[in-house]
Amino acid sequence: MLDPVIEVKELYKYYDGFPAVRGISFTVPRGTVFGLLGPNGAGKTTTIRVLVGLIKPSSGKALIAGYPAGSLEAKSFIGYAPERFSIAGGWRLLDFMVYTGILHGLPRRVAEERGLELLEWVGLGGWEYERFSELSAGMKRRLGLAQALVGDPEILILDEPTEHLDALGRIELLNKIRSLAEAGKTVLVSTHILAEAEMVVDRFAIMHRGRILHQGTMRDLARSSSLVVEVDKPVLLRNLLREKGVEAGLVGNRVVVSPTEGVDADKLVLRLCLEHDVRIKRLEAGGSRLSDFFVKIVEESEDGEQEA
Amino acid sequence: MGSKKPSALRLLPAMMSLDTGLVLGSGRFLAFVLLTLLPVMIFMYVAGLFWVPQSWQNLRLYSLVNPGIDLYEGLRDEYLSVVKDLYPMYTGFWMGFPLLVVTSLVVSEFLAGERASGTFDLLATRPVPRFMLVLSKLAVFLAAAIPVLYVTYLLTTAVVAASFFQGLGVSTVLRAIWDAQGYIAKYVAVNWLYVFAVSSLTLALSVRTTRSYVAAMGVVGYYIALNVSAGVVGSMISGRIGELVSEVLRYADFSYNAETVLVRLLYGSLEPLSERLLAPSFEASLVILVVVPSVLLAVTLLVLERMDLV
Repeated sequence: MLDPVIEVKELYKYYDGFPAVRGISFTVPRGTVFGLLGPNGAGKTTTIRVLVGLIKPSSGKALIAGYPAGSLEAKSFIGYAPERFSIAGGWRLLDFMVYTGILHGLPRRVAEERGLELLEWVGLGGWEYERFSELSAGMKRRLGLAQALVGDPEILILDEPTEHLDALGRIELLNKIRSLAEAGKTVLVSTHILAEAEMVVDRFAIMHRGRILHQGTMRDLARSSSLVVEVDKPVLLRNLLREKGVEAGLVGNRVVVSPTEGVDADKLVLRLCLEHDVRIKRLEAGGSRLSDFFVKIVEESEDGEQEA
Repeated sequence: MGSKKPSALRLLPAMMSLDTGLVLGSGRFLAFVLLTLLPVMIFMYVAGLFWVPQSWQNLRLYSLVNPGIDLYEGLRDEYLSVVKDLYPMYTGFWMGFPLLVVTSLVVSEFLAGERASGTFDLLATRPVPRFMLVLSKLAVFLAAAIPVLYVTYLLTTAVVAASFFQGLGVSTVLRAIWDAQGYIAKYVAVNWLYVFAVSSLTLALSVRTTRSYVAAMGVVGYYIALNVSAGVVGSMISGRIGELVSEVLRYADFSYNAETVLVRLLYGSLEPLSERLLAPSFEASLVILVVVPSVLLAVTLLVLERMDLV
């Protein structure tokens, strides 16, 4: 068992009586990239804001390296880039990096050197003396990553880090996240873009409506491979598959069939389609595993809630 | 894994050195300087047109009436008494407008403005107490306010000195300014305390908003409401009781207490305030001017430390 650096246990957070986070628990082992996945409004940002100490839990606990989240000790381990990274427009980039470094206890000269290095690393070399207001949305995001790293934190918490980045910028950023993990940093990243999460995360938790619906590793997920079938009667096919004890979910008119032990999924799908006059438009194996899994999990949860 | 938590107070000088550029380079601080100094410039211009040229005649007249007298020594007491008697201008104008309105505009940026831009919430995730982020900027502003106030009252005093002694030469004018240093220091000290009080009130109103104008206008609104209600109460409740209630209300106005403290420091007594219905108390006013804002600031910073930054 890897040593956990982030531990969340039975965490609840209410806003004016509304439960934004409902009793979630998870751990993030050292040196891994952990994805907090889910649609907008799932409670990811609220969870992150508790971890970085901006808000306090209503109940439950959140620990960073064994210290309560929000304590100065816990904060000393964290570098954080928020979802909407923004600072006052008048800040010069290097000044802000130095200021952030000073808050982490770095001598000014060291903070300046590190600031210059990091700006260069994120592709903002030459912009050191420009003001924040002059940056494009993508450049602001990159500054967000740079400032999170200036204190050389052991844990990086990145909330939707690829928002506002173009395709190339996204890939570049994801590579940087991966390289940080390889350098020994622990990264907690929240995103609703599952294809991107698939590229970088080692472990993940799927959040929906304030709850964690599933936790696992990408390695476990890779062992299974789903089947995606586009048909003219998707609801019928899904129900037929479920009657046969096979997990299946809907994404538009596509049925996502999860692998089930002892069942040859593609043969079963073909047989059911023939028997019930369901016309197959497309059939493919694999696809975005995490996306399919996510859809299935969320749908099951919604079905469960409706039944309840 | 060991914590690398830095010592918070040790960081303050380094934080202040970076905040200096941000605070002093802001448009609002520039407005503070300009609006504080502008009336002095107008005062100097008017004095240059009328009072200073008259000093020659006054001195000649004085020497004719008092032949053989040392003109500076002979007029020194009258000059110093004019310097002292300028206090209603300081409390009435400066405390009523530039120091109130512009101070609240400047200070509202330190918390409400920083929150609106996202800077405060981001820096609040760093291993320093939140109050340090505000305190650093406030300390820079309060330190910078001292020279601004000093120059304001130095120039005002220079105008009075020139109006008296221009005819005796520049060295005598400088000597006169030097002799009034004690009064200038008292003006600066009391006005600085007033700026501190307004700053504390502004920060207290900034805690629950991310709109800096709301906090600043809240402070101005508080003063207007206080003075209007004092006037309304005074006129609605007839007789001495009404006047007494409105007087009590005015004690919630920091400038009212600043005036009491200033008068006592300048004159050594509260005699010039004898027209007040409530016997003015130097001690009570000093507490309202110093202790109340200090407690308000401490409570504000404590609340800030514990509140959710949503």
